Amino acid sequence: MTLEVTARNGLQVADAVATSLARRASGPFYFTPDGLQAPLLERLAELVPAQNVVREDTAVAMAAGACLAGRTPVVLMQNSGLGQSVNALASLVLPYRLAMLLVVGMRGTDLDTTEENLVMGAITEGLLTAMGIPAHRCGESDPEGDVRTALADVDAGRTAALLIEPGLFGWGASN
Amino acid sequence: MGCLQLTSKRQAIAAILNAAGSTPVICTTGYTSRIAQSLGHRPHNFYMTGSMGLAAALGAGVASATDRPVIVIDGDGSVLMNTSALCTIGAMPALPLTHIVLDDGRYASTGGQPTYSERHDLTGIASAAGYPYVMSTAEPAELTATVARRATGQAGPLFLHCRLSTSAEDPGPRVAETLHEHAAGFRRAVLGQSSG
Repeated sequence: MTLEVTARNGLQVADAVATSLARRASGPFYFTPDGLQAPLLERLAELVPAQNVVREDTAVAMAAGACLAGRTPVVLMQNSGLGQSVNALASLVLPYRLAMLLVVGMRGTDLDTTEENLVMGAITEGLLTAMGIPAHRCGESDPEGDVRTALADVDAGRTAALLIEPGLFGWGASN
Repeated sequence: MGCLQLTSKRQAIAAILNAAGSTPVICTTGYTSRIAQSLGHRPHNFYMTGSMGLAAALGAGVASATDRPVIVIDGDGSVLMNTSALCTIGAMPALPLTHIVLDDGRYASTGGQPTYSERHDLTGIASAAGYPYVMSTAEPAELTATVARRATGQAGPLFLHCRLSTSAEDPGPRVAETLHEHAAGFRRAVLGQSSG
């Protein structure tokens, strides 16, 4: 019963985040694979045109192009993809002062004990801090407010990250 | 045919820019951006001074967001660094992107090491990735005519491979503008074009 309640809450939180993103960001929305965000990706794709991209740094570069066309892009990725994107952020997004929202699934943290993700999980927030990218945790108590706070940074001209912890949308260790 | 053959990157970039009009042109890292700048800056030029391998993706982002033609001047080394981006572009059949690869077979700006690009069928890779149009040319007149035609708005990604015969040339100085000012100027040019 506990598991069912968790899953239902997770879908509700995913729906709230998707609705808030669709309402507040002009996009485009670039999708890369992340199991933690699967319910969000599914719901968001019902609300906005989703652009699937084969690798995260390619998605970040496409988002940089959208910024140069006056848009407010959103890139959804897991934190391993943030590692893949470090150079795109460090040599393109940050020095050219392009503003996008990175929605980052936090593999290797909290209830995700998969060994291959632990190092990236441990360094993700430090990596963002070192790059000067503000990171906002998305919580289940006020997901709309957390999306709004992260997008306020982007609207002010800064690339920002919204962090998605493993259980937020109902992901479990058995997934 | 008696047509002049392309010899240098400078000659090819000049042929492209002469035909680009007000179409945004994304220049990849290394000598390509420096040569384009040295030919005379135009506000619709974007110089991507780092992030090797991502010029085509950047151009795809601009083209997708504006639904207007965009030209990318890429290199053999940079396109080989991220061939997976070709699959994303190839899956966007209406994208008005012209993806030109100037292939000198060398990593020119890092000391001229070989890329071994001659061992790869780059147009074949682009075609297999889904680009509806692929072509090769080494003639400046054909390069100019193709860019002029694409600048009028033909939809669908085009991959244009140009083999050069030398990588030895003076690229001119590094990009002079601060990068955020450069981005702001390019954005103004793109948005001016969009609203026009």
